[in-house]
Amino acid sequence: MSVLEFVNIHKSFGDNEVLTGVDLTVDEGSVTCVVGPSGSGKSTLLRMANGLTTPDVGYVTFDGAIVGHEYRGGSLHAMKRVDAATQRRDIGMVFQQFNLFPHLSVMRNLMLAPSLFSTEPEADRRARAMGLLDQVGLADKAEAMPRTLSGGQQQRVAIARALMMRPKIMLFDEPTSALDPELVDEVLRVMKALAKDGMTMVVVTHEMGFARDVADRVVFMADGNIIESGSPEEFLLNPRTDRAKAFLKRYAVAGDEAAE
Amino acid sequence: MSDATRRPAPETVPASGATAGIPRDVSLARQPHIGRWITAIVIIAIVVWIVYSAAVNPNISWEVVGHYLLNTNILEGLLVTLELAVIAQVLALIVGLVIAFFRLSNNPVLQAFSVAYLWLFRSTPILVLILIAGNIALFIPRITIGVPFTDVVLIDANTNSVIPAFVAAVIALVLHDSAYDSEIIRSGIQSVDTGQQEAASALGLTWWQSQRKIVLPQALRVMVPPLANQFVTLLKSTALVSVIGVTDLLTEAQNISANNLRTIELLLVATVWFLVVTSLASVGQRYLERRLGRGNAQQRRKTVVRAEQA
Repeated sequence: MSVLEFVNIHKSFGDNEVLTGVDLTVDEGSVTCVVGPSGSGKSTLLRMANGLTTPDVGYVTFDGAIVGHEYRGGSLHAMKRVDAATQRRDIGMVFQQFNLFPHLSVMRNLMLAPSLFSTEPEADRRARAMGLLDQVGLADKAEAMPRTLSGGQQQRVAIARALMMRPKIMLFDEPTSALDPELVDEVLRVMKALAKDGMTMVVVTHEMGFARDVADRVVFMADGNIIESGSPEEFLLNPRTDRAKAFLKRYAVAGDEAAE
Repeated sequence: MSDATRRPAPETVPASGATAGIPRDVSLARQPHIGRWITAIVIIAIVVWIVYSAAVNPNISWEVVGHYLLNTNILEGLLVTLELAVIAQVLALIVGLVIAFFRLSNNPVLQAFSVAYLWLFRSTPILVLILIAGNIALFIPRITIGVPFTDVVLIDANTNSVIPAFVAAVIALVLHDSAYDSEIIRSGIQSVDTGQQEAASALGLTWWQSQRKIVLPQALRVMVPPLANQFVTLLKSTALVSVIGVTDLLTEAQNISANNLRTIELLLVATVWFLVVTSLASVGQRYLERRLGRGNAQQRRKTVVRAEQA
């Protein structure tokens, strides 16, 4: 069953057309890896899934509702900002630059959003936060300030922070691209565990090893549209288009990276 | 990508040992700083001379200064000055915040309004604003507020009774100060990385929640020093309200000197109080800065230690 659907997404920034009519469906419980050269529109597409960016033409539906808009009288009308914010609470997002709140401790980074919205008792919330920190291997860092953590630790906190909202889907925007190479694996490990638990995930990434091991589907984008999509085996071992072959030659090839 | 950063540093250490004649444990020579001594002596001499000539000047009676420092009228004037400054500062911050948000909004009407507001109240001298606000009754003699298209009148009053001099002074100070504050607030907000707002949005925070919990607390660190500066400026600007008859510190001092003709002494009394209040404000600023920066300073130190251990 599809939980997230992109329908005929067009987007331009000035004269630069970054998305040219993208259609994509994400099934519940599936892991979709979106790969492709930089500038292909992957991140822009992902940011439309929670309304951080708005399509010029087309729409995104999440859980049956249009993201950030209502369909009325033949056109789309922006939702009230409060309603759009409410909708986002079910959609977790992890950013390339982590974007932890630097003035709050790790624990308060996790607790902030739920404390504003949920009626869950403080003690339960705190216990859940500790549980999630434990899950990402950072239970001892609850009171640390973000700046004192390594990039890999910060990104794991960011994942835990998103999970605090009990999202129905997790979006990852190049979650390991800003990390030193030796810190990539600790983040991918957490993401793999999350996939194993059945979380619906859309991951924009350059990590072909992760795509091969975890993805149910790999989507290859170039020049603002999806060129190819299929199972990781199909795509990584037998790409059909020349664009995909050239891309895979440049990025790490499946098979020569140590599997987890 | 990372290859470039990982390349080993080129060999710069000379292969041979110590240069002949220079001991290995050589240390930095003590510098004499002769110029520094001369400067210090000259400056101290000038300061001593000024203080001395002021102290022995037969035209300044220090007993009079001391006598009026705690005079009831002076203290009442000081209270008015403080009330003016604090009330105007609080209101100016609120108005400035709104104007700053207008400026940052996507709505061109709000943007234009904020630009015009800034242009008008930053270009008008504060003294002119005070005079206009204080004399507003000259061109709006009565304030009448009614229900449109009916004869119902809600308020109809003499302007001078609705806007006494104190209120006029506050209005003028707020208009002036909020224009400056809004620019300080705007630059503070813009100093916060856009990723912060995005992360807050992605977690489902509303615009105002993310401003209040995420953006403004981080912007505040940048804003405190210039805002404190602005407060001190405002505090001193309050002296100008004497032109519309608000009984502030300076007005009280001048009222007294009009009777006893001790002009300089009473101006010195006012000066002493301004020095005291400004000093207190500076202490408050330092406290705020330390409070807001404390976590960060510690973090930076820890990061350095971590880096060294690594």
